[in-house]
Amino acid sequence: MEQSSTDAPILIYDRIDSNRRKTRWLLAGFVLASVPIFLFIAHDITGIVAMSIFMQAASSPESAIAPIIGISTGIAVLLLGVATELLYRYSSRLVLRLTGARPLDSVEEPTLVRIVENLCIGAGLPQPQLAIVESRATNIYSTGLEPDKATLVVTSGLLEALDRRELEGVVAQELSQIGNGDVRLGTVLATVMTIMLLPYLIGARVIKALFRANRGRGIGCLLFPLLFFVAMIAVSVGFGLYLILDTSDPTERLFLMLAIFLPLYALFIGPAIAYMLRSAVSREREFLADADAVLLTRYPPGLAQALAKIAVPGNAAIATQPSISHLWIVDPRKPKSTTRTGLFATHPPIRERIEALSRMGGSTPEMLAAAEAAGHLYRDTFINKKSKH
Amino acid sequence: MSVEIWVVIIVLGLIVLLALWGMGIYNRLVRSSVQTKEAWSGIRVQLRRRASLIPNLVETVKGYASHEKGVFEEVTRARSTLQNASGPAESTSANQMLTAALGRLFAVVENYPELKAANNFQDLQDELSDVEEKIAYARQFFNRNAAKFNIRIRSIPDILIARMLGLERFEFFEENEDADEELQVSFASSSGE
Repeated sequence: MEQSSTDAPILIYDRIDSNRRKTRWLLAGFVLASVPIFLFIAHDITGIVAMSIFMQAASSPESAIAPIIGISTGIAVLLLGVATELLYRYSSRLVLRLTGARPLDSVEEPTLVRIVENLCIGAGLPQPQLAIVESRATNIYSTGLEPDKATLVVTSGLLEALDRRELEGVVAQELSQIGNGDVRLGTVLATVMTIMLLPYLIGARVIKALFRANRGRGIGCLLFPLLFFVAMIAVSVGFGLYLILDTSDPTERLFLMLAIFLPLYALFIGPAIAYMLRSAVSREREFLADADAVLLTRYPPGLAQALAKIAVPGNAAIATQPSISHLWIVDPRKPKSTTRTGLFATHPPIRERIEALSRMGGSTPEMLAAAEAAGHLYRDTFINKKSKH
Repeated sequence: MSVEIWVVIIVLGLIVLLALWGMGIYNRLVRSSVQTKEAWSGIRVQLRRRASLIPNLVETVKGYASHEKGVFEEVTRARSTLQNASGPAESTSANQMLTAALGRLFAVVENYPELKAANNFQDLQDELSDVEEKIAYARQFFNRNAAKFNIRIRSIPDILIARMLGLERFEFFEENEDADEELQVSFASSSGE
């Protein structure tokens, strides 16, 4: 990769500033994009209550609409403010909770502790807290809004699969991301995405439940709930459009348009925007962080071999909320998931990352092939638990 | 408003901008300088840690090989030289001396297998190699910051302010004394990638 950071050894501070700026823009974008979702939630919750109160108090139903919209919007703004504050403060804890990470005692895993200690000296960073996720998967991530409040989380599978130099490579990569602001950005992204995906996730769960209820009775039955759902949407949109065209009162029109648009946005458009915004931010950073990690360890093969091992399909996959998949060093979603590729990808393809690292020197194709083989062996031994024949 | 007033306003504006710009550069240089000094004290912390391990190490080896007086003296002398060294350049040569002396000490140890196998010796050895690793990382961090600062004070426009303040370049803390060349070479080759 030509634009390697090794030709400008100390640009980390510039990257920190650029990341700070991007964080702010991104936050602004997300706040804007999530306003309709908050409106949707507030609208639903308060609309009905307000409607009944106001419609009784008001002389004519039409004049009640404006105050209803006003109240819903006010509540939405309040919710937005409170949620932003809470999530900003507790975002790290949320992420750790979502992944089931448990704090690591300093007597457990002394090798890891020592590696983190020494690399932090090399990077000039304060030492992060350490945590572990009990899982056979091989993956690692960090979270935290500031380097001095960061937590580095490994899976127990990772400690099993990697040797010391490979572990140094991935830890260095995570430390680079902590130091240059990637992790702060990622943590903020994670919590905002959790909000924005809420309606979609709930809806998706409802659909999955419907599907599961009909499983085993043939494709025809699966089609029915889907068609029903689509029909419901079509009918409400159609009906709403009819009502809009039917009335000439602008406030009523506004009300109806909101009533149609908001659920559509919350369920489909908002999440799509969320995914795309996130990908726009995430991909380039991984390359830069890889390069910075090498600057720190002065040993490109360490990280390259680690990635080769982790890249074996199935090794890095760990059950996780979609809103935090970008935080891990390698995409934790199952290989067949459609949201991993193209517009929605959060990580550059691992092949490219390994190639970029090989170009920095030190790795031979044999070393990488050996690492990949070791990765396969790990998967077969621990994850798939194939019996030996 | 008359032309003269406009001119005054513009000139004042330019002066203010210039002052702000100069302040920005000054602050940046101060920050870089302080960060580098901090990085240097980071090295000293690790060097001190190693220095505190050495008497223990020497005593342990003496317990098995008391007659190898020359080596022990060499190590002890090198250790105090390093402790009294000030600044990266002096520390580089003192560190080199100590590393060489420790090398001789470990060469002696090779002749005493019981010593090598002894638990307390192995613990000391582990600790020592960990400290050496920490020194290496601290060195890397310091040199990087020092290089950054040195480049800054020689680049336009910072060079103007740096000259005014009489800021001097930092010396590097090398692994060995011919390393000034080494550093140039390593920067050149990494920028070629």
